Amino acid sequence: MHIDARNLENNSVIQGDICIIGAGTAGISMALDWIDTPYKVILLEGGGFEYDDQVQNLYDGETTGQRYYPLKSTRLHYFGGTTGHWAGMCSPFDPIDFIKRDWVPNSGWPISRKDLDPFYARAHEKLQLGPYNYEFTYWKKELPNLIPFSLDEKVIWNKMWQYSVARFGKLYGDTITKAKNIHLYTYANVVDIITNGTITDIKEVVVKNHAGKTHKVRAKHFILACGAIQNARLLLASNSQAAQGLGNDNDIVGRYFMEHIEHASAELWLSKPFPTKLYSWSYGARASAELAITEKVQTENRILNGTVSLYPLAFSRNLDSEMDVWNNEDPRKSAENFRESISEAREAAKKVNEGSISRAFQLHTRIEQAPNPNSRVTIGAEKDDLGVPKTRLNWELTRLDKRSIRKIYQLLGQQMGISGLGRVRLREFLRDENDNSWPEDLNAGWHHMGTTRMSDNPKRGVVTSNCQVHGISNLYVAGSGCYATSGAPNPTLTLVALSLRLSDYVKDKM
Amino acid sequence: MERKKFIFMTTAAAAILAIPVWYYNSCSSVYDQSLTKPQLLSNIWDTETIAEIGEIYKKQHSSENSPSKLIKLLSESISSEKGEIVAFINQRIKEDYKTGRIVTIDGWILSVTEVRQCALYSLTQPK
Ligand SMILES: Cc1cc2nc3c(=O)[nH]c(=O)nc-3n(C[C@H](O)[C@H](O)[C@H](O)COP(=O)(O)OP(=O)(O)OC[C@H]3O[C@@H](n4cnc5c(N)ncnc54)[C@H](O)[C@@H]3O)c2cc1C
Repeated sequence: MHIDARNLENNSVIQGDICIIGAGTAGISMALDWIDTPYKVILLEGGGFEYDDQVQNLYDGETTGQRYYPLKSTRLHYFGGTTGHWAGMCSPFDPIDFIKRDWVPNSGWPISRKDLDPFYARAHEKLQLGPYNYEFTYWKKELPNLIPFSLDEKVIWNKMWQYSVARFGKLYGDTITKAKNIHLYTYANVVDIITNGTITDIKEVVVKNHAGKTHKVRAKHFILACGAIQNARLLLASNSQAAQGLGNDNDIVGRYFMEHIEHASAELWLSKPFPTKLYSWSYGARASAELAITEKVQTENRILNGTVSLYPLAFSRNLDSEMDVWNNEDPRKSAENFRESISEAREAAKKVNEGSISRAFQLHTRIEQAPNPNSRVTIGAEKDDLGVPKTRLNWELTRLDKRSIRKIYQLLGQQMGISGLGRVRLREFLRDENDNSWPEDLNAGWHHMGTTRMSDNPKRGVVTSNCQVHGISNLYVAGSGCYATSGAPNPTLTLVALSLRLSDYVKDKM
Repeated sequence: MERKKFIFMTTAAAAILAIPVWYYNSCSSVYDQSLTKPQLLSNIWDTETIAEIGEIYKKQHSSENSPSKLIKLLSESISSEKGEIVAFINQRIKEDYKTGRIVTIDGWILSVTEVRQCALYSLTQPK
């Protein structure tokens, strides 16, 4: 069922069993899981079914620290959320991503990869991926042209990826609006979360829109599913009863913001042509791999988890950095710029792709960043159209992040030398071991994580291992904000898995 | 066989086997040209780059800035016939990578042996 909240009578009170705030990847995944249950699900979406600049403006904010994309254009504010722009790259986190590593401060989740495995399998259905199988040997049988480099498997392994083309808005719009027990309200922007007197229960949330309407929503359970930056913002901005914001008694909400560092950090020059489809991504491909460092070698070298992907060098050298291209406040224009820059690089590559460069690849890093309390989302004094304080993001990296990138390429360079396949060349910023600076063209994956991190100890995390906000019995967070560490792979598969796990938990509580 | 004699004979045999290399070691003007040609790098770089990398290495390691020194270092423990030198050097490059005898020059992660080949090339090619 679909209701446009702009058409409701002002000050309406909406009631349901559970209230999911945000109809993006996490929110829709959860809502789908409640279809045909005996419960009335209220699904609140700030935008409509199409892009609306007035609504998108609500995402506007300020960034400091490491150069970042305009906050307004890093997410999409309408039904379907940021799947409207995502690239669909999926791979599960590795077991090491969940454990406490003594060389990574603040690492360690209260759950393990095994706990998530059954939910990863379910997430695959929602994201319309292939089988939940990321074994190279499986994919080698499926797609025989995936020929691996012969590198020492004790050091480097082939981390498999699958590709989703799911755009949740188009894919699930009908299913959600036709579901009898799902009550989707569009143009229903949550602006405040109201608790009981002791701040242990959520009583209601306040919803507003640009039509000047204000409504209240009451439910037994509330799930925040607005994306990692926005979830933190809403908790911090709901400060009429708890001065520091909800769930923030220990000053953790918004802290430990993490991104994936993505960057063209090195080059691989092969001595001979090596025909394989394993390391290249093309639209419509079912699976491919990135080169990853084994857990043992990560541990020995005390580095973060990261992977390396290969792009033809002639193409990549002509490609502008994403940070330079995705610079328009309007996400549609940024996406257009991005596509154009890819086409231009392809054209330029055709002219120079001769000789040894035709056997050369740009090595792209994709790596977790170490959890850092100073990398954080806060709220400023300025407010958006609906009266919510705007977001401030200070993205900050650490020395460990850079050292890990350098080490990964040193290890890869060594393995390439042993195998005799080719040679690796580091980009300038990695060459001096004492240089801790970052290059201007450093990119991020548009992956927002860690702002409501998970820990069983309320002093160290915002949510419990079940994604419930510490101290508030009926408030939960769905999404990558709950990550204690950011892993190497893109976040969406894991956040859908985590949301489905939360879904089961809330069902058990009904 | 008498022990002394045996030692003498094995030394003599080793000397015969090592003659080409010994010869290169002692007389820098005559050496196997393959010592100046890093095989894998030649598939990637042009000769100019090989010389440039060699130059940088020589500057960083001034004690190796002479053909005879480099020939000696490159020929160390080569006891094979001339034709097998390339295979021997390639094997040593792999060993370098395995054992961490690696240098980074202009960003390239290289084996010490192959960089010495570049350095020898830069010293021995007419400018
Ligand atoms: C260019 C790009 C490429 C990407 N590529 C990949 C990729 O290849 N692989 C990958 O794993 N990830 C990728 N991502 C990231 C991925 O899109 C996100 O991880 C994912 O969409 C986050 O899901 P979410 O549900 O937390 O947030 P979203 O999908 O952003 O959904 C949040 C929803 O909440 C709504 N909302 C916000 N505020 C309110 C409010 N106050 N009240 C009510 N509703 C509200 C929004 O309108 C939206 O519908 C990419 C992102 C971008 C921008």
